[in-house]
Amino acid sequence: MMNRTHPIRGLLIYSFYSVRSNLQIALLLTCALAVALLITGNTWVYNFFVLSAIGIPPYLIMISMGAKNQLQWEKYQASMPLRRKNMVAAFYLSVLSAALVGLVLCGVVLGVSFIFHEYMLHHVTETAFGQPAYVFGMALLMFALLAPIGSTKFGETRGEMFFTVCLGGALGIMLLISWLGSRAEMSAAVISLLQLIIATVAFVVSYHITSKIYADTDF
Amino acid sequence: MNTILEVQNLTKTYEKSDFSLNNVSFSIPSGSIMGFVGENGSGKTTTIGCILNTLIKDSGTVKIFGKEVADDSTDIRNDIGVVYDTNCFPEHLTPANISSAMRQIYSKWDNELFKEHLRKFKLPEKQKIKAFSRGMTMKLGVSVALAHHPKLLILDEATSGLDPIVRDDILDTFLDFVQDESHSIFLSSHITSDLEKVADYITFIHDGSIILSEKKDDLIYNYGVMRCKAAQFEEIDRADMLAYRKHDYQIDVLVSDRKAVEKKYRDVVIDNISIEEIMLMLVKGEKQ
Repeated sequence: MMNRTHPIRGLLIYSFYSVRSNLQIALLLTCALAVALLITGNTWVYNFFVLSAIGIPPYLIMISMGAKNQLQWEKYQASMPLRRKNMVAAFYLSVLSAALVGLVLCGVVLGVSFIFHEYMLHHVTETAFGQPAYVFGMALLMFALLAPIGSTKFGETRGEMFFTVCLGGALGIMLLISWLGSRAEMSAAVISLLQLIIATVAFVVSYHITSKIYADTDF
Repeated sequence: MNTILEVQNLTKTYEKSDFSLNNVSFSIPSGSIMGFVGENGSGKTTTIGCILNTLIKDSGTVKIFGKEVADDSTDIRNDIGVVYDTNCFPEHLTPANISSAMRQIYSKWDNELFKEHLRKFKLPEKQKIKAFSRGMTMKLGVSVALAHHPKLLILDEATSGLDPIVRDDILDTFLDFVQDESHSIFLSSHITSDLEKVADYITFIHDGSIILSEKKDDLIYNYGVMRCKAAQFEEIDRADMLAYRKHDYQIDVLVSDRKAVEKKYRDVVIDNISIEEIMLMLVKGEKQ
Protein backbone atom coordinates (compact mmCIF):
# COMPACT_ATOMS: atom_id res chain seq x y z
CA MET A 1 0.00 0.00 0.00
CA MET A 2 1.76 3.14 -1.21
CA ASN A 3 0.34 6.63 -0.66
CA ARG A 4 1.16 9.44 -3.01
CA THR A 5 3.24 11.81 -0.88
CA HIS A 6 3.31 15.60 -0.75
CA PRO A 7 6.06 16.36 1.79
CA ILE A 8 5.67 20.14 1.63
CA ARG A 9 1.93 19.84 2.19
CA GLY A 10 2.65 17.59 5.18
CA LEU A 11 4.97 20.21 6.68
CA LEU A 12 2.41 22.96 5.99
CA ILE A 13 -0.17 20.94 7.91
CA TYR A 14 2.27 20.76 10.84
CA SER A 15 2.87 24.47 10.60
CA PHE A 16 -0.87 25.17 10.59
CA TYR A 17 -1.56 22.91 13.59
CA SER A 18 1.30 24.52 15.52
CA VAL A 19 -0.27 27.97 15.32
CA ARG A 20 -3.93 27.00 15.00
CA SER A 21 -5.10 28.13 18.43
CA ASN A 22 -3.34 31.51 18.10
CA LEU A 23 -4.64 31.86 14.53
CA GLN A 24 -8.19 31.33 15.76
CA ILE A 25 -7.79 34.25 18.20
CA ALA A 26 -6.28 36.41 15.44
CA LEU A 27 -9.14 35.48 13.11
CA LEU A 28 -11.72 36.41 15.75
CA LEU A 29 -10.04 39.79 16.21
CA THR A 30 -9.91 40.32 12.45
CA CYS A 31 -13.60 39.40 12.08
CA ALA A 32 -14.56 41.80 14.90
CA LEU A 33 -12.59 44.60 13.22
CA ALA A 34 -14.16 43.74 9.85
CA VAL A 35 -17.66 44.04 11.34
CA ALA A 36 -16.71 47.30 13.06
CA LEU A 37 -15.31 48.61 9.77
CA LEU A 38 -18.45 47.68 7.85
CA ILE A 39 -20.64 49.37 10.47
CA THR A 40 -18.61 52.51 11.17
CA GLY A 41 -16.42 53.02 8.11
CA ASN A 42 -13.86 54.48 10.51
CA THR A 43 -10.39 54.95 9.00
CA TRP A 44 -8.63 53.99 12.26
CA VAL A 45 -10.59 50.75 12.32
CA TYR A 46 -9.52 50.29 8.71
CA ASN A 47 -5.85 50.62 9.68
CA PHE A 48 -6.13 48.08 12.50
CA PHE A 49 -8.14 45.70 10.34
CA VAL A 50 -5.45 45.64 7.64
CA LEU A 51 -2.72 45.09 10.22
CA SER A 52 -4.68 42.32 11.90
CA ALA A 53 -5.65 40.51 8.69
CA ILE A 54 -2.32 40.59 6.88
CA GLY A 55 0.30 41.23 9.53
CA ILE A 56 -0.59 39.01 12.47
CA PRO A 57 -0.85 35.52 10.85
CA PRO A 58 2.68 35.58 9.32
CA TYR A 59 3.96 37.06 12.60
CA LEU A 60 2.46 34.10 14.53
CA ILE A 61 4.12 31.63 12.17
CA MET A 62 7.47 33.40 12.59
CA ILE A 63 7.08 33.22 16.39
CA SER A 64 6.27 29.50 16.20
CA MET A 65 9.62 29.00 14.46
CA GLY A 66 11.28 30.11 17.65
CA ALA A 67 9.27 27.68 19.81
CA LYS A 68 11.24 25.81 22.42
CA ASN A 69 11.28 22.42 20.69
CA GLN A 70 11.68 23.80 17.17
CA LEU A 71 15.29 22.56 16.92
CA GLN A 72 14.24 19.01 17.81
CA TRP A 73 11.43 19.21 15.28
CA GLU A 74 13.87 20.35 12.56
CA LYS A 75 16.18 17.45 13.44
CA TYR A 76 13.24 15.07 13.15
CA GLN A 77 12.22 16.61 9.81
CA ALA A 78 15.75 16.09 8.50
CA SER A 79 15.41 12.36 9.23
CA MET A 80 12.10 12.09 7.34
CA PRO A 81 11.78 11.23 3.63
CA LEU A 82 12.03 14.77 2.38
CA ARG A 83 14.83 16.97 1.10
CA ARG A 84 16.24 19.87 3.06
CA LYS A 85 15.01 22.30 0.43
CA ASN A 86 11.48 20.94 1.08
CA MET A 87 11.85 22.05 4.70
CA VAL A 88 12.87 25.55 3.60
CA ALA A 89 10.10 25.73 1.00
CA ALA A 90 7.52 24.78 3.64
CA PHE A 91 8.76 27.58 5.94
CA TYR A 92 8.49 30.19 3.23
CA LEU A 93 5.19 28.91 1.87
CA SER A 94 3.58 28.92 5.31
CA VAL A 95 4.43 32.61 5.81
CA LEU A 96 3.48 33.52 2.24
CA SER A 97 0.15 31.68 2.38
CA ALA A 98 -0.75 33.23 5.75
CA ALA A 99 -0.09 36.72 4.34
CA LEU A 100 -1.95 35.94 1.08
CA VAL A 101 -5.05 34.68 2.91
CA GLY A 102 -5.03 37.94 4.89
CA LEU A 103 -4.67 39.94 1.68
CA VAL A 104 -7.65 38.19 0.07
CA LEU A 105 -9.74 38.68 3.23
CA CYS A 106 -8.78 42.33 3.19
CA GLY A 107 -9.82 42.69 -0.43
CA VAL A 108 -13.24 41.15 0.20
CA VAL A 109 -14.01 43.20 3.34
CA LEU A 110 -12.78 46.46 1.79
CA GLY A 111 -14.83 45.78 -1.34
CA VAL A 112 -17.98 45.37 0.77
CA SER A 113 -17.14 48.40 2.91
CA PHE A 114 -16.98 50.60 -0.21
CA ILE A 115 -20.61 49.70 -0.91
CA PHE A 116 -21.71 51.00 2.50
CA HIS A 117 -19.26 53.86 2.85
CA GLU A 118 -18.38 55.60 -0.37
CA TYR A 119 -16.01 58.02 1.35
CA MET A 120 -13.90 54.96 2.35
CA LEU A 121 -13.08 54.56 -1.32
CA HIS A 122 -11.81 58.12 -1.38
CA HIS A 123 -9.79 57.60 1.81
CA VAL A 124 -8.21 54.43 0.54
CA THR A 125 -7.36 55.67 -2.93
CA GLU A 126 -6.03 59.02 -1.76
CA THR A 127 -4.25 58.27 1.48
CA ALA A 128 -3.95 54.60 2.22
CA PHE A 129 -4.28 52.79 -1.06
CA GLY A 130 -1.08 50.96 -0.46
CA GLN A 131 -1.62 49.95 3.14
CA PRO A 132 -2.51 46.29 2.50
CA ALA A 133 0.39 46.08 0.06
CA TYR A 134 2.61 47.81 2.63
CA VAL A 135 1.73 45.38 5.45
CA PHE A 136 2.01 42.42 3.08
CA GLY A 137 5.43 43.64 1.92
CA MET A 138 6.54 44.21 5.52
CA ALA A 139 5.65 40.62 6.43
CA LEU A 140 7.58 39.22 3.46
CA LEU A 141 10.55 41.50 4.02
CA MET A 142 10.78 40.76 7.73
CA PHE A 143 10.73 37.01 7.08
CA ALA A 144 13.23 37.44 4.23
CA LEU A 145 15.65 38.93 6.76
CA LEU A 146 14.78 36.64 9.66
CA ALA A 147 14.88 33.21 7.99
CA PRO A 148 18.50 33.11 6.77
CA ILE A 149 19.83 34.63 10.00
CA GLY A 150 17.74 32.28 12.12
CA SER A 151 19.08 29.31 10.14
CA THR A 152 22.67 29.98 11.15
CA LYS A 153 24.22 28.88 14.44
CA PHE A 154 24.69 32.59 15.17
CA GLY A 155 20.98 33.33 14.86
CA GLU A 156 19.83 30.14 16.59
CA THR A 157 21.10 31.32 19.95
CA ARG A 158 19.90 34.90 19.64
CA GLY A 159 16.38 34.38 18.31
CA GLU A 160 14.55 37.13 20.18
CA MET A 161 17.21 39.74 19.51
CA PHE A 162 17.21 38.99 15.78
CA PHE A 163 13.43 39.03 15.70
CA THR A 164 13.50 42.64 16.88
CA VAL A 165 16.43 43.54 14.61
CA CYS A 166 14.69 42.06 11.54
CA LEU A 167 11.44 43.86 12.36
CA GLY A 168 13.36 47.14 12.67
CA GLY A 169 15.36 46.34 9.52
CA ALA A 170 12.24 45.63 7.45
CA LEU A 171 10.57 48.80 8.71
CA GLY A 172 13.71 50.79 7.95
CA ILE A 173 13.92 49.48 4.38
CA MET A 174 10.23 50.24 3.75
CA LEU A 175 10.63 53.78 5.11
CA LEU A 176 13.75 54.30 3.00
CA ILE A 177 11.90 53.24 -0.15
CA SER A 178 9.04 55.53 0.84
CA TRP A 179 11.42 58.47 1.42
CA LEU A 180 13.28 57.90 -1.85
CA GLY A 181 9.94 57.56 -3.67
CA SER A 182 8.68 60.86 -2.22
CA ARG A 183 11.88 62.63 -3.26
CA ALA A 184 11.38 61.26 -6.76
CA GLU A 185 7.79 62.62 -6.57
CA MET A 186 6.19 59.21 -6.99
CA SER A 187 2.55 58.76 -6.03
CA ALA A 188 1.63 56.76 -2.89
CA ALA A 189 0.34 53.94 -5.05
CA VAL A 190 3.57 53.69 -7.05
CA ILE A 191 5.65 53.76 -3.87
CA SER A 192 3.55 50.94 -2.40
CA LEU A 193 3.97 48.94 -5.57
CA LEU A 194 7.73 49.53 -5.49
CA GLN A 195 7.88 48.42 -1.85
CA LEU A 196 5.91 45.28 -2.67
CA ILE A 197 8.18 44.40 -5.60
CA ILE A 198 11.34 44.89 -3.54
CA ALA A 199 9.90 42.82 -0.65
CA THR A 200 8.93 40.02 -3.06
CA VAL A 201 12.38 39.97 -4.67
CA ALA A 202 13.99 39.93 -1.19
CA PHE A 203 11.70 37.03 -0.22
CA VAL A 204 12.75 34.96 -3.27
CA VAL A 205 16.46 35.76 -2.83
CA SER A 206 16.18 34.94 0.87
CA TYR A 207 14.65 31.53 0.03
CA HIS A 208 17.68 30.62 -2.09
CA ILE A 209 20.12 31.81 0.58
CA THR A 210 18.33 29.84 3.31
CA SER A 211 18.26 26.73 1.09
CA LYS A 212 22.04 26.98 0.69
CA ILE A 213 22.49 27.41 4.45
CA TYR A 214 20.26 24.39 5.15
CA ALA A 215 22.18 22.22 2.70
CA ASP A 216 25.24 22.44 4.98
CA THR A 217 23.48 22.64 8.34
CA ASP A 218 24.01 20.10 11.11
CA PHE A 219 20.70 19.38 12.82
CA MET B 1 22.28 -12.83 5.91
CA ASN B 2 21.90 -9.38 4.27
CA THR B 3 23.49 -6.30 5.75
CA ILE B 4 20.87 -3.66 6.39
CA LEU B 5 23.21 -0.90 7.62
CA GLU B 6 26.90 -0.58 6.85
CA VAL B 7 29.06 2.21 8.23
CA GLN B 8 32.63 2.48 6.94
CA ASN B 9 35.38 4.80 8.22
CA LEU B 10 32.94 7.49 9.31
CA THR B 11 34.55 10.68 10.57
CA LYS B 12 33.01 13.89 11.79
CA THR B 13 34.56 16.91 13.45
CA TYR B 14 32.94 20.00 14.93
CA GLU B 15 34.14 23.57 14.88
CA LYS B 16 35.02 24.87 18.34
CA SER B 17 35.03 21.36 19.83
CA ASP B 18 37.77 18.83 20.48
CA PHE B 19 35.37 15.95 19.96
CA SER B 20 35.58 13.97 16.75
CA LEU B 21 34.22 10.73 15.37
CA ASN B 22 37.22 8.67 14.25
CA ASN B 23 36.89 6.08 11.49
CA VAL B 24 33.76 4.50 12.90
CA SER B 25 32.90 1.21 11.17
CA PHE B 26 30.29 -1.45 11.89
CA SER B 27 27.41 -3.23 10.19
CA ILE B 28 24.02 -4.61 11.17
CA PRO B 29 22.67 -7.82 9.61
CA SER B 30 18.96 -7.92 8.84
CA GLY B 31 16.72 -9.49 11.47
CA SER B 32 18.91 -8.33 14.34
CA ILE B 33 19.14 -5.67 17.02
CA MET B 34 22.42 -3.87 17.53
CA GLY B 35 22.97 -2.15 20.85
CA PHE B 36 25.19 0.92 20.62
CA VAL B 37 26.73 1.60 23.99
CA GLY B 38 28.87 4.43 25.29
CA GLU B 39 29.02 7.01 28.00
CA ASN B 40 27.48 10.47 27.56
CA GLY B 41 29.44 12.41 24.94
CA SER B 42 31.09 9.32 23.47
CA GLY B 43 29.66 9.93 19.98
CA LYS B 44 26.47 7.87 19.86
CA THR B 45 24.20 10.74 18.76
CA THR B 46 26.82 12.04 16.31
CA THR B 47 27.05 8.59 14.71
CA ILE B 48 23.26 8.40 14.41
CA GLY B 49 23.15 11.93 12.98
CA CYS B 50 25.69 10.97 10.30
CA ILE B 51 23.79 7.76 9.50
CA LEU B 52 20.57 9.72 9.00
CA ASN B 53 22.36 12.60 7.24
CA THR B 54 21.01 15.08 9.79
CA LEU B 55 24.70 15.79 10.44
CA ILE B 56 27.03 16.35 7.51
CA LYS B 57 29.86 13.80 7.77
CA ASP B 58 33.46 14.72 6.94
CA SER B 59 34.30 11.40 5.30
CA GLY B 60 33.37 7.74 5.19
CA THR B 61 30.37 5.93 3.80
CA VAL B 62 26.98 5.04 5.21
CA LYS B 63 24.99 2.46 3.26
CA ILE B 64 21.45 1.54 4.20
CA PHE B 65 19.79 -1.31 2.27
CA GLY B 66 22.94 -1.26 0.11
CA LYS B 67 22.54 2.36 -0.99
CA GLU B 68 24.56 5.36 0.14
CA VAL B 69 22.56 7.89 2.16
CA ALA B 70 22.37 11.46 0.81
CA ASP B 71 19.97 14.42 0.99
CA ASP B 72 17.93 13.07 -1.92
CA SER B 73 17.68 9.51 -0.51
CA THR B 74 14.02 9.93 0.35
CA ASP B 75 13.27 6.35 -0.70
CA ILE B 76 15.76 5.05 1.90
CA ARG B 77 14.36 7.28 4.65
CA ASN B 78 10.86 6.00 3.85
CA ASP B 79 12.03 2.65 5.22
CA ILE B 80 13.59 4.06 8.39
CA GLY B 81 11.79 4.80 11.65
CA VAL B 82 13.53 7.17 14.03
CA VAL B 83 12.98 7.78 17.74
CA TYR B 84 14.99 10.41 19.59
CA ASP B 85 15.37 10.79 23.33
CA THR B 86 13.22 13.92 23.49
CA ASN B 87 9.83 14.97 22.18
CA CYS B 88 10.43 16.19 18.64
CA PHE B 89 6.83 17.07 17.73
CA PRO B 90 5.32 20.53 18.12
CA GLU B 91 3.53 20.57 21.48
CA HIS B 92 0.23 21.96 20.18
CA LEU B 93 -0.33 18.90 17.99
CA THR B 94 -2.38 15.83 18.87
CA PRO B 95 -1.51 12.31 17.67
CA ALA B 96 -4.40 12.65 15.17
CA ASN B 97 -2.81 15.84 13.79
CA ILE B 98 0.53 14.08 13.44
CA SER B 99 -1.11 11.28 11.49
CA SER B 100 -2.78 13.66 9.05
CA ALA B 101 0.57 15.32 8.31
CA MET B 102 2.63 12.11 8.23
CA ARG B 103 0.40 10.51 5.60
CA GLN B 104 1.54 13.31 3.26
CA ILE B 105 5.19 12.58 4.01
CA TYR B 106 5.59 8.78 4.30
CA SER B 107 4.52 6.76 1.28
CA LYS B 108 3.63 3.72 3.43
CA TRP B 109 1.98 5.58 6.32
CA ASP B 110 -0.66 3.29 7.81
CA ASN B 111 -3.21 5.17 9.88
CA GLU B 112 -4.83 1.98 11.17
CA LEU B 113 -1.48 0.63 12.34
CA PHE B 114 -0.77 3.99 14.01
CA LYS B 115 -4.11 3.85 15.84
CA GLU B 116 -3.39 0.26 16.83
CA HIS B 117 -0.12 1.34 18.46
CA LEU B 118 -1.87 4.25 20.18
CA ARG B 119 -4.42 1.82 21.62
CA LYS B 120 -1.70 -0.63 22.64
CA PHE B 121 0.21 2.11 24.47
CA LYS B 122 -3.04 3.64 25.83
CA LEU B 123 -2.34 7.01 24.22
CA PRO B 124 -5.26 9.43 23.66
CA GLU B 125 -5.62 10.25 19.98
CA LYS B 126 -7.00 13.75 20.46
CA GLN B 127 -5.04 15.07 23.40
CA LYS B 128 -2.35 17.70 22.83
CA ILE B 129 1.22 16.45 23.22
CA LYS B 130 2.03 19.18 25.74
CA ALA B 131 -0.17 17.30 28.23
CA PHE B 132 1.75 14.03 27.70
CA SER B 133 4.18 12.62 30.25
CA ARG B 134 7.69 11.70 29.14
CA GLY B 135 6.74 8.05 28.91
CA MET B 136 3.71 8.87 26.75
CA THR B 137 5.83 11.08 24.50
CA MET B 138 8.35 8.29 23.94
CA LYS B 139 5.56 5.80 23.24
CA LEU B 140 4.13 8.26 20.73
CA GLY B 141 7.56 8.51 19.08
CA VAL B 142 7.72 4.71 18.80
CA SER B 143 4.14 4.59 17.40
CA VAL B 144 5.02 7.17 14.72
CA ALA B 145 8.27 5.38 13.89
CA LEU B 146 6.48 2.05 13.41
CA ALA B 147 3.38 3.32 11.59
CA HIS B 148 5.01 3.63 8.16
CA HIS B 149 6.23 0.00 7.99
CA PRO B 150 9.96 0.71 8.34
CA LYS B 151 12.58 -1.97 7.82
CA LEU B 152 15.13 -0.28 10.04
CA LEU B 153 14.49 1.40 13.39
CA ILE B 154 17.08 3.86 14.65
CA LEU B 155 16.63 4.72 18.31
CA ASP B 156 18.71 7.33 20.06
CA GLU B 157 18.44 6.79 23.83
CA ALA B 158 14.75 6.06 23.31
CA THR B 159 14.40 4.30 26.65
CA SER B 160 16.41 6.67 28.84
CA GLY B 161 14.57 8.41 31.66
CA LEU B 162 11.64 5.97 31.51
CA ASP B 163 10.38 3.81 34.35
CA PRO B 164 10.97 0.03 34.10
CA ILE B 165 7.35 -0.71 33.15
CA VAL B 166 7.31 1.70 30.19
CA ARG B 167 10.79 0.52 29.14
CA ASP B 168 9.61 -3.05 29.19
CA ASP B 169 6.55 -2.20 27.03
CA ILE B 170 8.76 -0.46 24.48
CA LEU B 171 11.40 -3.21 24.45
CA ASP B 172 8.71 -5.84 23.89
CA THR B 173 7.50 -3.81 20.91
CA PHE B 174 11.05 -3.82 19.50
CA LEU B 175 11.30 -7.59 19.94
CA ASP B 176 8.00 -7.99 18.05
CA PHE B 177 9.36 -5.77 15.30
CA VAL B 178 12.42 -7.95 14.63
CA GLN B 179 10.33 -11.10 14.41
CA ASP B 180 10.28 -10.19 10.73
CA GLU B 181 13.69 -11.28 9.39
CA SER B 182 13.88 -8.28 7.04
CA HIS B 183 13.75 -5.83 9.99
CA SER B 184 16.63 -4.52 12.10
CA ILE B 185 17.08 -2.12 14.99
CA PHE B 186 19.99 0.14 15.85
CA LEU B 187 19.49 0.96 19.51
CA SER B 188 21.72 3.51 21.18
CA SER B 189 21.59 3.42 24.95
CA HIS B 190 23.63 3.63 28.08
CA ILE B 191 21.12 1.42 29.91
CA THR B 192 23.03 -1.80 29.46
CA SER B 193 20.31 -3.94 31.06
CA ASP B 194 17.99 -3.02 28.15
CA LEU B 195 20.60 -4.13 25.68
CA GLU B 196 21.24 -7.38 27.52
CA LYS B 197 17.53 -8.07 27.21
CA VAL B 198 17.05 -7.38 23.50
CA ALA B 199 20.31 -6.92 21.57
CA ASP B 200 21.94 -9.50 19.32
CA TYR B 201 25.08 -7.44 18.77
CA ILE B 202 26.79 -4.88 20.99
CA THR B 203 29.05 -2.10 19.74
CA PHE B 204 30.95 0.02 22.25
CA ILE B 205 31.96 3.56 21.40
CA HIS B 206 34.32 5.66 23.49
CA ASP B 207 35.79 9.10 22.69
CA GLY B 208 34.44 8.89 19.14
CA SER B 209 36.06 5.52 18.36
CA ILE B 210 34.61 2.02 18.26
CA ILE B 211 36.41 -0.04 20.89
CA LEU B 212 34.51 -3.29 20.53
CA SER B 213 31.78 -4.75 18.30
CA GLU B 214 30.69 -8.33 19.02
CA LYS B 215 27.73 -10.66 19.24
CA LYS B 216 26.09 -10.22 22.64
CA ASP B 217 26.20 -13.95 23.35
CA ASP B 218 29.94 -14.01 22.64
CA LEU B 219 30.41 -11.19 25.13
CA ILE B 220 28.32 -12.84 27.81
CA TYR B 221 29.51 -16.42 27.36
CA ASN B 222 33.12 -15.92 26.25
CA TYR B 223 34.22 -12.77 28.05
CA GLY B 224 35.08 -12.88 31.72
CA VAL B 225 36.79 -11.02 34.49
CA MET B 226 39.76 -12.44 36.40
CA ARG B 227 39.86 -11.40 40.06
CA CYS B 228 43.60 -11.31 40.75
CA LYS B 229 45.91 -10.44 43.58
CA ALA B 230 48.97 -8.36 42.71
CA ALA B 231 51.27 -11.38 42.46
CA GLN B 232 48.82 -13.27 40.25
CA PHE B 233 48.42 -10.23 38.04
CA GLU B 234 52.18 -10.09 37.40
CA GLU B 235 52.10 -13.67 36.12
CA ILE B 236 49.37 -13.11 33.57
CA ASP B 237 50.41 -13.01 29.94
CA ARG B 238 49.67 -9.48 28.70
CA ALA B 239 48.33 -10.93 25.44
CA ASP B 240 45.47 -12.50 27.41
CA MET B 241 44.31 -9.16 28.82
CA LEU B 242 41.97 -6.71 27.10
CA ALA B 243 41.96 -4.24 29.97
CA TYR B 244 42.45 -4.19 33.74
CA ARG B 245 41.33 -2.11 36.72
CA LYS B 246 43.24 -1.87 39.97
CA HIS B 247 41.24 -1.78 43.21
CA ASP B 248 42.56 -1.60 46.78
CA TYR B 249 43.08 -5.33 47.31
CA GLN B 250 42.32 -6.77 43.89
CA ILE B 251 42.98 -6.27 40.22
CA ASP B 252 40.19 -7.09 37.74
CA VAL B 253 41.32 -8.26 34.34
CA LEU B 254 39.00 -8.38 31.33
CA VAL B 255 39.59 -11.41 29.11
CA SER B 256 37.92 -12.38 25.86
CA ASP B 257 38.23 -16.19 26.10
CA ARG B 258 37.14 -17.22 29.55
CA LYS B 259 37.42 -20.97 29.05
CA ALA B 260 40.96 -20.82 27.67
CA VAL B 261 42.05 -18.53 30.50
CA GLU B 262 40.43 -20.81 33.10
CA LYS B 263 42.57 -23.69 31.84
CA LYS B 264 45.70 -21.55 31.71
CA TYR B 265 45.40 -19.88 35.15
CA ARG B 266 43.82 -22.50 37.42
CA ASP B 267 44.41 -20.64 40.69
CA VAL B 268 42.69 -17.39 39.62
CA VAL B 269 38.96 -16.81 40.12
CA ILE B 270 37.27 -15.96 36.81
CA ASP B 271 33.72 -14.59 36.91
CA ASN B 272 31.07 -14.06 34.30
CA ILE B 273 30.80 -10.44 33.22
CA SER B 274 27.88 -8.18 32.42
CA ILE B 275 27.72 -5.72 29.52
CA GLU B 276 27.93 -2.86 32.03
CA GLU B 277 31.09 -4.28 33.58
CA ILE B 278 32.69 -4.75 30.14
CA MET B 279 31.86 -1.11 29.34
CA LEU B 280 33.38 0.08 32.61
CA MET B 281 36.51 -2.01 32.13
CA LEU B 282 36.99 -0.79 28.57
CA VAL B 283 36.30 2.85 29.37
CA LYS B 284 37.82 3.25 32.83
CA GLY B 285 40.35 0.43 32.84
CA GLU B 286 43.89 0.49 31.54
CA LYS B 287 44.40 -1.11 28.16
CA GLN B 288 47.06 -3.55 27.03
